[in-house]
Amino acid sequence: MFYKSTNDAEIPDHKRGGFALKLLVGLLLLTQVGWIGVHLNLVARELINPWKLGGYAMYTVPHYAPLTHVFLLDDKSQKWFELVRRRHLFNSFQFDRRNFLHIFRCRALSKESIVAFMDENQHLLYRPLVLALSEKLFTRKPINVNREFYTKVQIAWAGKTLFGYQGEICGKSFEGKVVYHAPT
Amino acid sequence: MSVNSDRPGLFALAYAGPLSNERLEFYLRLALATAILSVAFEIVMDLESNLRTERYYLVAPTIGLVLSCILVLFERTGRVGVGLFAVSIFVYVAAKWAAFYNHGYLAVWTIPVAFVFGEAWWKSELYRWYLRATLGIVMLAACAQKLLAGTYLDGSFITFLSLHGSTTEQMFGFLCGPDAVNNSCLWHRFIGTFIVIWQAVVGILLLIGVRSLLFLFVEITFLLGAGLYADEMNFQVLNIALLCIAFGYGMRPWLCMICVPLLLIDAYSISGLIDHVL
Repeated sequence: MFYKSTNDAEIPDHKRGGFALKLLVGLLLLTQVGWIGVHLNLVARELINPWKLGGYAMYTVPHYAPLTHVFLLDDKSQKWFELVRRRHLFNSFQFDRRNFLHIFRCRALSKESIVAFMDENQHLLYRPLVLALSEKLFTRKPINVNREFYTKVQIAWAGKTLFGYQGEICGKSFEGKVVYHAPT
Repeated sequence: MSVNSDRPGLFALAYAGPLSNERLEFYLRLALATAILSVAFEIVMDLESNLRTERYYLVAPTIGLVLSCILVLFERTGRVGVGLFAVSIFVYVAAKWAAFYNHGYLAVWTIPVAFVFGEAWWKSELYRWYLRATLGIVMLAACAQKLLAGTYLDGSFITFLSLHGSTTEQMFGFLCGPDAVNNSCLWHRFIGTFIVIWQAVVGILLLIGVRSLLFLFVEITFLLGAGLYADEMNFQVLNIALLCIAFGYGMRPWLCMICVPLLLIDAYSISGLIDHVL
């Protein structure tokens, strides 16, 4: 009985789908296949996080788990040092959110996201700083994951209302200037 | 094995003779409710972080999802429940599309569609066919992604999980020695290759319309096993629930009694539970 097909399911199809319904179903299936094709292409070109955007590529590689890092220039030694990831030291929630949680690996960090970072971290205003992103990369020899930096953007202030930024991601550089007014 | 076996085995429990149409229809609605529950669980778990980040507008869709889970159970409110789910999930996805889970996306493709199949969507053969085709595409997509990554045929991802995964993910660690860190052993390659082939076969069988109950039970077993291994039950329960509708089998009480507790356990994580006990 377990070989029984359920083709003749006990419940009769009360209303055979009309042409419009069949067309809708067909279009939905085509859209799904199309999206999966696009997703495969983006994953193959390493442009997106495979775990995201509904492409069913989770558990193909470890999650990239991108993280935002902040580096500051020490006034005395003139050396860069990394700020420890603690909420009271810096908050990258809006920065990450406005960069779509970094699922688009090669998308330049947006001006809005950098402004949002400044808004959220007023104690870091007017200081030269570097924002960097890291992700976990899978290696085969040895089989492991290593967290590596893959982009950074340097921010420099000119007075208290203007800052410039310059960075590089996936071999492409980006830059911009922002007239900044700190939220009151 | 006979259905009327004196020994009540799993199969006997699974197939308890012909059902009345009313009962079967309820089981089909219960399957959709379980599918919604698998999504609702994840979203309810996110409620705290949504409140912490002042995304209060996501409270309404969260409540909507939970409510839709109840409404789809009843014949009179089944369609309203699906409609409420559709509105809630679209609001949620619009707000959190970048962070949204893959099983949430699968729910978007599969559950709201039921609305267009009328008051009694569970009677629509076309809807069941759509679910089978969608799940077939999902299986083939997962297979293609694994082939593209190249981490299953060479066993490297199984080895990685065995070495660095959570407690349940390390279950195949004993099959290989310490040398596996540089080169996956034959067993890990075999498991990785088996998973890829299995997904391809299931995808093709679903697409060509195989609806044997044996196939359904084997696939449910595989999904539950994979869920325990990866310590991730939401996606598996969603798949199982949708398969139960697609095969016209419905969410039988014995299966519901397995799936719902697994969702509850998943909230804490199976590895977390094992580590706590040990």
